Amino acid sequence: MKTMLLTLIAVLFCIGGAFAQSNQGILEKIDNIRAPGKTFTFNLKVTVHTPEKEQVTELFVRTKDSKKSLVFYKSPASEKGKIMLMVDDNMWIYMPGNRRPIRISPQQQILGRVSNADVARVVFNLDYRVDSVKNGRIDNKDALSISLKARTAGAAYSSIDVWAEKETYRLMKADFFALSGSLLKTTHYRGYETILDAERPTILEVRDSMKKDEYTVMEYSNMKVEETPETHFQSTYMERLSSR
Amino acid sequence: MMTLLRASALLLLLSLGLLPIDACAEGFAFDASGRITEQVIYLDLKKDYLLNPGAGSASSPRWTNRLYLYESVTVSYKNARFVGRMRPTLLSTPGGYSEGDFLTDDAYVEMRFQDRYFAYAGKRNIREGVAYGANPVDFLGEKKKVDWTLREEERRVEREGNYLAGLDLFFRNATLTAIFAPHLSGNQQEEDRLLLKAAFLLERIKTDATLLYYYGDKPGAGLAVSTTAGHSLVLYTESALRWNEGRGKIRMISARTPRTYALVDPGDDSGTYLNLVVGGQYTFDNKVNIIGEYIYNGEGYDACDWRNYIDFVKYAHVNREKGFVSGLMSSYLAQANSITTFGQMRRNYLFARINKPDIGGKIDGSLVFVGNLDDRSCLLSPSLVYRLNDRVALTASAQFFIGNKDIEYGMIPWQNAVSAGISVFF
Repeated sequence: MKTMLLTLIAVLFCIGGAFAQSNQGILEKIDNIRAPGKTFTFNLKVTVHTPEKEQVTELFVRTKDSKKSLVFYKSPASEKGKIMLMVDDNMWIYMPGNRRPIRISPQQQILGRVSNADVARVVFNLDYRVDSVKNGRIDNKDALSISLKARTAGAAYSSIDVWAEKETYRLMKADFFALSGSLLKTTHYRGYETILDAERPTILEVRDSMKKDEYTVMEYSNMKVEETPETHFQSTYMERLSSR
Repeated sequence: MMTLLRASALLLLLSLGLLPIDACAEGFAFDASGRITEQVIYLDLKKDYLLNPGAGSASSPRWTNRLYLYESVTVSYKNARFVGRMRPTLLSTPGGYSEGDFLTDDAYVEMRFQDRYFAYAGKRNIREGVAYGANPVDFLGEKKKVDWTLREEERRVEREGNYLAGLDLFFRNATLTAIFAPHLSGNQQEEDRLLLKAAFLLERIKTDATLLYYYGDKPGAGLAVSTTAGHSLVLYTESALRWNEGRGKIRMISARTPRTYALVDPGDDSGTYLNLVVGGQYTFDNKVNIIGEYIYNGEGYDACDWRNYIDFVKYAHVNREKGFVSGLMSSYLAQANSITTFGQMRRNYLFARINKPDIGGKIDGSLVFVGNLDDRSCLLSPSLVYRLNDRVALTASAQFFIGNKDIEYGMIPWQNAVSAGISVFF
């Protein structure tokens, strides 16, 4: 009897583990659509739309081993030369006018409703774990509704609800929540194009939940698999990168 | 003639700066960026202050117009690069006085080896430290002149560099640095200085740590640490232990009229002292960022030293006004001016800054408070940056110095300062 009970517990653990692995596997498939690998580069144009103005910022991003990113500001002229570095949950900003890298928190947002992490991180699975996966429908398509929870207190959001096409795992929409549980923003993933042998979203539209008349559009282009030396991902190196 | 030459150099650089230069050829790269700023500064000069006219700092005009270019140029060829950051400046006043100056923050050549070893030589403004209100570990920059009319964050950035030679070695999550800044008669008055530095990233605990050793006129060792705590908070501390020399102190030698005072040579007062900053910055959901720092300045005067200093200044001021041995009194005041460094006179300070970016989508607003906890004098400095478009920004800032005329911030020669300007970025 005792042996049977132990066997049953072991089987239940295995099944639970398999489910968890399967859920995390779904998230990895979604991430693989957004990122062509662990090490790559891309251009990013961020346009913040408010009733008063339209502000465009052009960035160049280098990522390495998924968890390291360098974000170079190319325009506007007043921002040119600024660099942001992210290594795991560590973030620094280097402004040519400041002459030293400054450690910043993930909360320090840079462009409209887009946070540092939104720009520097392309994948979810480093900062979030799958809490649940449900079937549903969105935009008249069968979809998976995946609830993500932050792995650490340093993650940009407390939780994220992600919607992806059931057949293709293509991201469709994500709701981002604060620790209080309030909805901060919603992102729609659009403009799917074949890039590096896969259909990937090139346009992200970010809508603020509080300011309904404001939204931010992130446009990805020129995605390449390209190596960046390890030493470049150090805050002390940032000054040397500013003019390259 | 010199003014004309400097003005011509300024115009030439202005023209160069306006060119949209960003060239690149085989192994060669050229990049230029910067801004032109036109700024009007008004100083609400006090009619009567203790470190009074005739002793140095009172000749400032009320209105000053400052036109300056901040030009950053980088020329790279293969493994070498030249970095230049210049500030040609033209100052003019309503009285018709004008003065040109060509300030060089950086002008150095750097060689790169294997992308991880760098050797450089020339003039370079190196800024150390993690804090905002004070940087005890900023050893090479500690004697640089502070321009109070600049916005707080610009004061330690826009300053002339040191002539030096250095070596940086990069390893995984660690950087080692050695810098030598020699005494150069006529160009660099400080004695030979050496700075050794080791910077580490402790990735798992989200912490940067920098250890420094400094040999120079005031030898010392320093430590700077910063860490991220959760989603919104960054905490940091930096400290420097200095030995052998502290701030010069005033001692009365004789009470017989006229009194005799002497500045005690800090070298005779040997010992160690600690400079320390502990602080943090927090960012709220609505992007408001607040910084709070406690600053301990071990070199500053304690209550007794301050009383000696202020008695000395008052004695010289009152007697000079009366015309009593005015030559001696003027020399006393000149001596007092030479040891007065506002913001570093006492031991305990509080620094705070609140910043709200993106007000109405175009305005960045800040309010800085620096308080002397020993005498309760303080500085309040609001500033606004209004972005007209991607290339043009309007700036306005003010400094209000609060305190009686015999306490630190109340001793500054002007009660308030206001400046407004326009910057064009290129």
